[in-house]
Amino acid sequence: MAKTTESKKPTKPNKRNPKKQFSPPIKRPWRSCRSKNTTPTSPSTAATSSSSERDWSELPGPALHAVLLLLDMVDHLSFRGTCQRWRSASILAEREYDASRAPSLLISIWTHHDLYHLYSVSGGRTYMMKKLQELPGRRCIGSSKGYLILADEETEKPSLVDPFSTVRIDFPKPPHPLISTRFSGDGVLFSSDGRLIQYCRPGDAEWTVCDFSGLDVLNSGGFVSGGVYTVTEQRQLVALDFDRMGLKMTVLRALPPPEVDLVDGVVHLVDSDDELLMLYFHVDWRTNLVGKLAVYRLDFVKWVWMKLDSLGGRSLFVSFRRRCVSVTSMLRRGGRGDCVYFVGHIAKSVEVLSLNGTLLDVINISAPVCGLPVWICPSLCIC
Amino acid sequence: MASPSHTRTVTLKSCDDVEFVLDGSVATLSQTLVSAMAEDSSSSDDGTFTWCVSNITGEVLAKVVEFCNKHADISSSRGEDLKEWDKAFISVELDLLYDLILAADNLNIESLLDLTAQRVADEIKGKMPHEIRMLFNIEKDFTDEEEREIRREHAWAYGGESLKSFL
Repeated sequence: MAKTTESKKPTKPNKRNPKKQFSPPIKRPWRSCRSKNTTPTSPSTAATSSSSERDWSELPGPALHAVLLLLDMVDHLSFRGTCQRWRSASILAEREYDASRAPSLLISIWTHHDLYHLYSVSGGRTYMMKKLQELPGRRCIGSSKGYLILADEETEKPSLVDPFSTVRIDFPKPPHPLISTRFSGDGVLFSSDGRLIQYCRPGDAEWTVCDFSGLDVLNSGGFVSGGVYTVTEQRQLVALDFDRMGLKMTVLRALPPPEVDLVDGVVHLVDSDDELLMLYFHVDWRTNLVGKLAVYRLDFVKWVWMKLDSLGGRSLFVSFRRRCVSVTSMLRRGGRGDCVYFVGHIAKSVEVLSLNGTLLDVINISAPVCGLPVWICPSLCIC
Repeated sequence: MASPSHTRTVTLKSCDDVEFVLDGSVATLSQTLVSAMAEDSSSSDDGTFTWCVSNITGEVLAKVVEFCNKHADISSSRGEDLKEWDKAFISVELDLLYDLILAADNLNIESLLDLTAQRVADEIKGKMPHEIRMLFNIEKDFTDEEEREIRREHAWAYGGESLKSFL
């Protein structure tokens, strides 16, 4: 297993506990050029053109902090490059900043141009992202824990790439096609195709294949506190565990679906803040709209599913096309929490639904959507 | 001991001796005034309270008082109307904006701090660091080490030459 960067370890997913607090080596793979179709947000006052007499580097700390939390990633990096004092304020606030951001949407990732579109939900605009060096010759097959999962078009070898740093982790060629591939966060890359699960840990020379042909494992998995969970075609939750040798995965216990009528929709497991959630939704293929939304939380002690009325301020960010689903969970500061963002099924727009399935908003993205868009969480902390 | 609810009026005095009389309920928008009134035992019997703001001029203080009066008036402080009012209120020259930020910080008026921060954020959006510096009269004071770091941060996006225009 080759790591392309010096001594970087795949610790990025553990954003809550970054080891390095100061001077993170951020790479900026994008340009802050505003998309032609987005409306400028600056107030159109006469004052904007003339510069100020005051020394703004001396702005009080609380004011700098308040400004920072209103900027999206690109503008934050520009803010950070302004002067020493602003840079210090930015570095002090970066963990809070990361936690407060809604994920951005990486769209048109399969195009062969060297510009890619990135839609920032918090900024409400589209960026042109320039020269994501890891992309040529690779296609994006998903995103997980802040990483893009890319597969080499010729060799099928997967890599995890952090689009906001140079961190890249390469994996060997898998024995089976990569379907519904996810990264567990503690270093395991999983892929399942309904009959088998294959996984690979950094340092492994090859993939381990576990055959579950009797189970009809669905393309959905979750990782909570070291445990591995998946659902079957019959919507049964299955807890898996590695055997003593750490090689084979065995079924620990199973749990029937929370409700009997979850048959005709999409079921997806989401691991979020040490919780295991089950997202169920149904798409009306005539109208292409999402309906019948429900979210359940697993009570690990009682081993039952609890239907949720609230996500506790979190939002779920879902991208799906056909049976390919990827979900990111995020706590949003201010703005709209307790809702589910859907993208992928309707070109050029994001549907926002409340937990009871009410359509709250439709966000138009002013860029062509090509392939499966992925939600990614830009991070200022590079651990 | 005078609590905000018992104080009928508050007199704010600017550094250039301009006085403004505020209703007690209006003054509660300022956490600084709330704390000061709570600690003050020398408040006169008629329920007035005077507070000198050392570094804020009368011109700026007039704007602050205008803001507080508007935001404390519950009947008019609703939704879109207030947003429109805020937008017009904060469309000021940058120097006045700066002074308003200092005043909001000094008097600890959260809603004013948020509004001024939003205006600054709007100004920053879409600008390069050198453009931000030019707009806000900021000197580039990075050490060589920091500058190298910033170059590293942005090398990927900008490449060698265009980096000059970034910094």
